[in-house]
Amino acid sequence: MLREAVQALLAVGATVGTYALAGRLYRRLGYVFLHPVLVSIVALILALEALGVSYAAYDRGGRLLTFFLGPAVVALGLPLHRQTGEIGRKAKAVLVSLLVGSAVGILSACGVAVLLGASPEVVRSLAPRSVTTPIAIEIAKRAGGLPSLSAVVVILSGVFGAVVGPPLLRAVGVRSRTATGLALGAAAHGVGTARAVEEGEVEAAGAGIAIGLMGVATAVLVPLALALLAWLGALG
Amino acid sequence: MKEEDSPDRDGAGSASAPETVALELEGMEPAAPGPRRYPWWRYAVSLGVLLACLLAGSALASYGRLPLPGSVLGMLLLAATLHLRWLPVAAVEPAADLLLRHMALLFVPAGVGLMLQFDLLRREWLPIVLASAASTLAVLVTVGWLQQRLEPDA
Repeated sequence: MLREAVQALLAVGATVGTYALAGRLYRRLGYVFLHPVLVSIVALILALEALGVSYAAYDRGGRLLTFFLGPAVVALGLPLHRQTGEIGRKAKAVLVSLLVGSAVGILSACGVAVLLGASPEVVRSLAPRSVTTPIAIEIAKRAGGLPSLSAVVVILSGVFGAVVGPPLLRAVGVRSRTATGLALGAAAHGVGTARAVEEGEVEAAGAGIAIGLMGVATAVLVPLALALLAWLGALG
Repeated sequence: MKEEDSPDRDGAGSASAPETVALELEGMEPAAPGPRRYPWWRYAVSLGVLLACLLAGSALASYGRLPLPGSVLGMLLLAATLHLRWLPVAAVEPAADLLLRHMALLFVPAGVGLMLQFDLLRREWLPIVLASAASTLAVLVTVGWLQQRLEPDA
């Protein structure tokens, strides 16, 4: 009992410490692909493998952190509330764009994966790719995917989308600032929002709204999309 | 002018001196304005509000048989409650801002779970990477272009 409590505390301490160091490294080097979450995950996996600690043992403490994902998702309601005022008369356009964007996000991820011969488990994990990580983890759990794979996929695509987003949007002729922010938040979530903040306030508000509403739309659409794929026989 | 300022600040500052020190220690990055700090009970109360929304959202999801995670419903409930002014923003701000600022830390343990999936990654990394990249590009272009087409001209 005591031993398990100490193990759990060690796991929490190691996670927080690694994350803090990774954050410092990120700020010092300023290289986007060294996202602190990715660096922390890789470092912790290497350390656990080297020390011969099982994931189950580590997760006794890890779970204490994971628990707070629930209230953290609820907390996303605060920026959603703060920024709905900024959108005003564009609200209808925003809802339509994000609903279509959510469907395109799910179907393109699952479609490409199916065509390239991915296993059903992987297809189910890729379905929630277009939402912020904590919501993606929840959706993956319910959809029969692997939450850990969804988490890493979401972060990787967030980094990718934040890098290619602004030049790509300019190249296809998107000049509206709300549209730019919305697209960054929808495709690249948290990392994209950080990028949108650099572009300006209107962009930042758009990205904040996109994160919340994409979460809702995708949570509703993923089960439908997976049912459709299963019916087409694409899920094995 | 400066001389006038400093004794005043010292007099009022004695109670909040530890806070100032903490802020300075954290202020390594000069660009960040520094997060706001609140007394501990305001974190406790606001975390309670968030957990209440989570609980209500989960109950609604399971009794209403809704296809949404309880936390996502809780997020909508919180936004609606704030919008209708049933709750002041200040009631949720301390814990909400803290969680939002450090949210990335919270999904590290989930990501470490990937260590159980090495075989799967070795076999399927290519479809995983290509599908993620394709979907990211598709969402960027769809949302950006559609929003620009649909919005009333600014």
